[in-house]
Amino acid sequence: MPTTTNLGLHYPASSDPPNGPLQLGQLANDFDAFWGPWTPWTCTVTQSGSVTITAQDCAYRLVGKQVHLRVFVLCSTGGTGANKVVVGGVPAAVAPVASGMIAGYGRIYDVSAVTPYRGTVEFDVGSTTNLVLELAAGLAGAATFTAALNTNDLISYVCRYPKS
Amino acid sequence: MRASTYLGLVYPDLPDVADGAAWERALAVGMDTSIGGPGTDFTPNLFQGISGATPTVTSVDYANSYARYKIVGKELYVFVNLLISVTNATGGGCGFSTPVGMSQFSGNFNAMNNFGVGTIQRAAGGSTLAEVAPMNITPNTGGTVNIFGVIEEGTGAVATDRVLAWVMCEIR
Repeated sequence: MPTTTNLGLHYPASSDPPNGPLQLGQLANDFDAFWGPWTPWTCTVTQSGSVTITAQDCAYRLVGKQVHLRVFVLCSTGGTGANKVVVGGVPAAVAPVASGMIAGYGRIYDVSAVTPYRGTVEFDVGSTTNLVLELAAGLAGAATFTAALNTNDLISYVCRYPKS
Repeated sequence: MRASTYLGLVYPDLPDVADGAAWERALAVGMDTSIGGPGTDFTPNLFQGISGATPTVTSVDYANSYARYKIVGKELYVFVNLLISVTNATGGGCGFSTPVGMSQFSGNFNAMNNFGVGTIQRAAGGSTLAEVAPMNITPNTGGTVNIFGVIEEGTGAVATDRVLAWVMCEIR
């Protein structure tokens, strides 16, 4: 059976013998598959060097050319301050490539300072797979994060972006 | 053939000649396009100062910009990444509205507010280096969507900045 371009939905070719239950069942199952459960994935976090994390809830779903993504991780070793916080390893690269492509919004919670930093989540300049958090002037500037990630700091993003 | 209300999926009407393969193919292709398609590029064509010592957007570098929207049933997604040049960036507000292509929904956005996020990134070389200003994204009274931002305070800066916006909302 041929399939559609974006979602890969099966449908009968004109030459296929009629078999409604089989053919419609295949289409229904295809449709059901991408609206099904979210898929867990493993991200990486760096702030200059690697940051050890414990994933609390990291999952994605592909719907045709759209990627739905959520990140919720707990940090357990510190990063290096005045460097950007990079969440890497997204399950599908953004496309078309555009410098600083916006992907969603997010928050980094600094436990020791009891301070949340909120901003837009963007793809790092020159990267199609690394996410950074842009914050207001004075807090982060050019995608750098003033504080060093430390034990029990939280990173939470919600993203939706186009892929190739 | 008839079409469903939200996704526009076609399905056979009673007088249609039975052709299961063609009907199923039309349904599959309809779902593929309406849900899985890549979206539509558009050219944001209106920038405007909105208050105070108004910054003026003098040009948009469309060749190095990106803007796309995607509609799935009653949901709207917009991604904007624009490279702009600004003069008189002395602290006033600056915004732009979504493209003409969205005007088909005029009047439908009035009941909604703050359905997206955005930033204006200040390029190096302006009066203040590489800053980021948060933006509010709100519906205009007339029903089209305006994306409002604040060009960072400075003194007569001439800068090449980048406007980023991300919208995800329900179309009523």
